[in-house]
Amino acid sequence: MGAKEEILQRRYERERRARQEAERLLEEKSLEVYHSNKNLKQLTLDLEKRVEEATHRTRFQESKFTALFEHSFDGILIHDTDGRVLEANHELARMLGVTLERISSMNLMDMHPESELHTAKAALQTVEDQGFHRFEIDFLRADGSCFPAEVAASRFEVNGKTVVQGMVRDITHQKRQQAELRAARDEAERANKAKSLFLANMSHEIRTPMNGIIGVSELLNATRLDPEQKELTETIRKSGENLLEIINDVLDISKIESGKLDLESAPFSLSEVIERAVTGVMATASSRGIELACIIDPKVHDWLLGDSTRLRQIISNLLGNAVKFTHEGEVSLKVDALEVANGRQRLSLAVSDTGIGISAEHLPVCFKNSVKWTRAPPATTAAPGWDSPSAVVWSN
Amino acid sequence: MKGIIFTEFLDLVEKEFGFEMQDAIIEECDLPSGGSYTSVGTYNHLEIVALVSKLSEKTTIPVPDLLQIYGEHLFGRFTQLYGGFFTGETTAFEFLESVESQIHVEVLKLYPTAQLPRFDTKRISEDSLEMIYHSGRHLEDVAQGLIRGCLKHFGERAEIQRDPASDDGGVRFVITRTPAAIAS
Repeated sequence: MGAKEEILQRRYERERRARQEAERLLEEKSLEVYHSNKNLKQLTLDLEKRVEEATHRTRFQESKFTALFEHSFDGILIHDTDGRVLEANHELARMLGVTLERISSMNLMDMHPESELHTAKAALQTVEDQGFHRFEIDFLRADGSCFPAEVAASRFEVNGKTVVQGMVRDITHQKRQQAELRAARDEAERANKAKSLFLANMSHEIRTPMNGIIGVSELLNATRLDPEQKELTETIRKSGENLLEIINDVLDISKIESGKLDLESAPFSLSEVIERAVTGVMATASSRGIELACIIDPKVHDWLLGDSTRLRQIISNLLGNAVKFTHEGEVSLKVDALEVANGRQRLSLAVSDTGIGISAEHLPVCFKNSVKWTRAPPATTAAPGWDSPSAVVWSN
Repeated sequence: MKGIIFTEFLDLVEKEFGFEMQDAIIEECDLPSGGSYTSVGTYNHLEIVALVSKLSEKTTIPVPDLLQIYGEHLFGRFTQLYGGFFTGETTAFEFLESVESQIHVEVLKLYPTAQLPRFDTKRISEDSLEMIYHSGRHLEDVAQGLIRGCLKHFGERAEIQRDPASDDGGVRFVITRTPAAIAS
């Protein structure tokens, strides 16, 4: 074999081996492609399954949304930030008295009367700024009539664009009910005022003849009478005085209810007021063997500014009540100087007794329903206590 | 290294120096592969270094010159074998800038284990492009030949300035289009 043949022989061998190597690599690659294809098919199947599931979920969400949208009791409107309607439901079309086709060509501002356009624009701006806004506004029907509505509007993004969804609820019925309630309340207040006026007038009318009865019985009592007659006239006088007191209380209540109770602001002696109040219950107390005690702190100013009549009434009522419900022991009135603020002295008037007291459950009701307490003069406030009701007075 | 580098080199040797020379350098190099190359195979890059060195020894042409000639030839072959890669770009600079981001990406899809050089490019000016070659194989002469082949393919003329290898092994080329080329 010549040199050239040898070279060609070697070349042939190299090329044969290269071909074999190429075939091996081709086989390897084919297997790779086969497996890749298989994996790809599985991947496609998985992907199809996921797409199907996602589609199913989307359809379900769509159905749910459609059901809510179409069968809502409220009108629903979706519009862009310029107010152009993107979608609306049948309920809103019904409320406005237009067709769905007509709504789709409308602008939000076409749905309100001229007088409400400012409110509508301001509300739209608020929704854009804050994301949510609830407000009341009148809507305009196709026939030109209006109805009041409550709107809950919220902003959201769709494909990078801001849209607003508004839930519109007709509140005509609610508004009517509110107006009726207001009218009923006004009527009740008017009736109550009339009742108070009637009571005030009646009490006044009754008091005049009562004063006549008491005066005449006193005059009669001053004449020569036998003991039995004296006792009878005395009974007439006492009964008259009791009745007059009840009438005065009724008159006070009606004055308070009608807001006609004016408080005086005049200088008075506290000790004098207390003395008169104590004297008023002294007879009853001594007849029952109950001891009456009155302790006044030396720091207490005697000369005060206020309504002495009302203060005496309060002290008398507290003492009278204490004596009434105490069968033995004592009733005491204690006056203390609490503090000085803004040139005024704060006083505490506490009445305590050894009587049956007031149960805890009745205590709030007692003070709540007591006109004398709740309507006590502003210069005189009351602090509740278990068995020692007290009054607090400001003095200059 | 992919077999196409070897097959194309040996084809060029045969074409330029005859099949005897091709056989001689293979036989004298004592190659692990025995000189049997297929373009889709993968071989040790030291074999190409040995083959080029042997060719240089036999022809007395310096190795860098041989590698640059080979690089230029290889680019021409690429345009024939993989024409699809050469349809998008309209200038040599555009093509060179797309090597890393497009061509190498596609090559890796076909050969995930391929060890490719990295080319970083930066436009210095409208007519000047900086291209830095990074590769552990240090075949920067082949890279330079490829750049020349690229310019030739797009019918452009340019000066190629080459800086010595930097500390990190990268070799910087600055390719500046000549005015004649711009005018044409």
